[in-house]
Amino acid sequence: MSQEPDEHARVRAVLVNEAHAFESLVRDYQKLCWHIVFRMVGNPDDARDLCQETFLRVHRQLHQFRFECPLKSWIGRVAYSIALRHLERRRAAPVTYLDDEGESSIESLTDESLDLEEAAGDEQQAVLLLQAVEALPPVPRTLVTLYHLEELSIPEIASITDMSEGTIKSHLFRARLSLRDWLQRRGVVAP
Amino acid sequence: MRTPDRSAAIAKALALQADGLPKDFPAQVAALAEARASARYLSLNDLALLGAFVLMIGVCVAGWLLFDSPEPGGVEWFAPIVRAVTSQPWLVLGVAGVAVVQMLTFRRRATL
Repeated sequence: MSQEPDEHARVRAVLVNEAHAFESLVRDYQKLCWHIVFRMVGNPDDARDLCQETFLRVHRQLHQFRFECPLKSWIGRVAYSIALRHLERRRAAPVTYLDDEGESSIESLTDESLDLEEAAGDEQQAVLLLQAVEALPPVPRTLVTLYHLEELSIPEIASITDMSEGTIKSHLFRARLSLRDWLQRRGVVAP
Repeated sequence: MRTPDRSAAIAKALALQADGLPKDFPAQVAALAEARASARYLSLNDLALLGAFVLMIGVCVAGWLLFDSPEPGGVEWFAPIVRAVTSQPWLVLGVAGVAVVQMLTFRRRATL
């Protein structure tokens, strides 16, 4: 995977305790961290605490970062594992869709020509679409956020979540189906 | 399996929701991380201090034994301890090692 050219310098600056180096790192990655953690746990108070825990762990373990993946993915992985552990501790299983249905059949079910694009025409419809995303289970809604909002690539998401690329794609196809169903039931998009 | 298309509609809907972190979150976290790192550094200092203390006691005891007290019976009470230590040095070192490890583990648990 490609690395940002200044990533080594940036990590070194944090490790030697250069003024504001860590603060600037937090500023650049806090949005990613929030998107992962908040979508996973769904509670803003918990998400704030977990974001803090994520960056404290990043600070403590940064010397172990070996530049084998981009720093963004590494921080994302820390955030994802902390959120996942939080859900497990609360015995809230990070529900996914995957059942016995094959991945290829899911893909064939998802006709993207029947698109959601019409569902965000105005602000009110966009709010409904946001509610539909929030109604998804934790893992799919996190994947949807990383893919559509953060615009991470499938390999980057795979690196963060430790899932296979096929599983991620399958989740994304299914999430899209669920969103469309949810909106169709409320008459936002035509069946 | 093909790669799903990105949806501008989903991105737009998700972007409606601002992140819930306070404005000074980076500064807060950086200060907290700094404080925790200092605490870890302090515990290393504590260890160094303990080492120096043990060394100092060791030098005193060695000096005492080497130069001895001119008064008869001055170190008699100390002799059984010295004999025990010198007859089983590895046992004493082992016990001391376990004690140090236990103390450090306790400190680590207490500071987590």
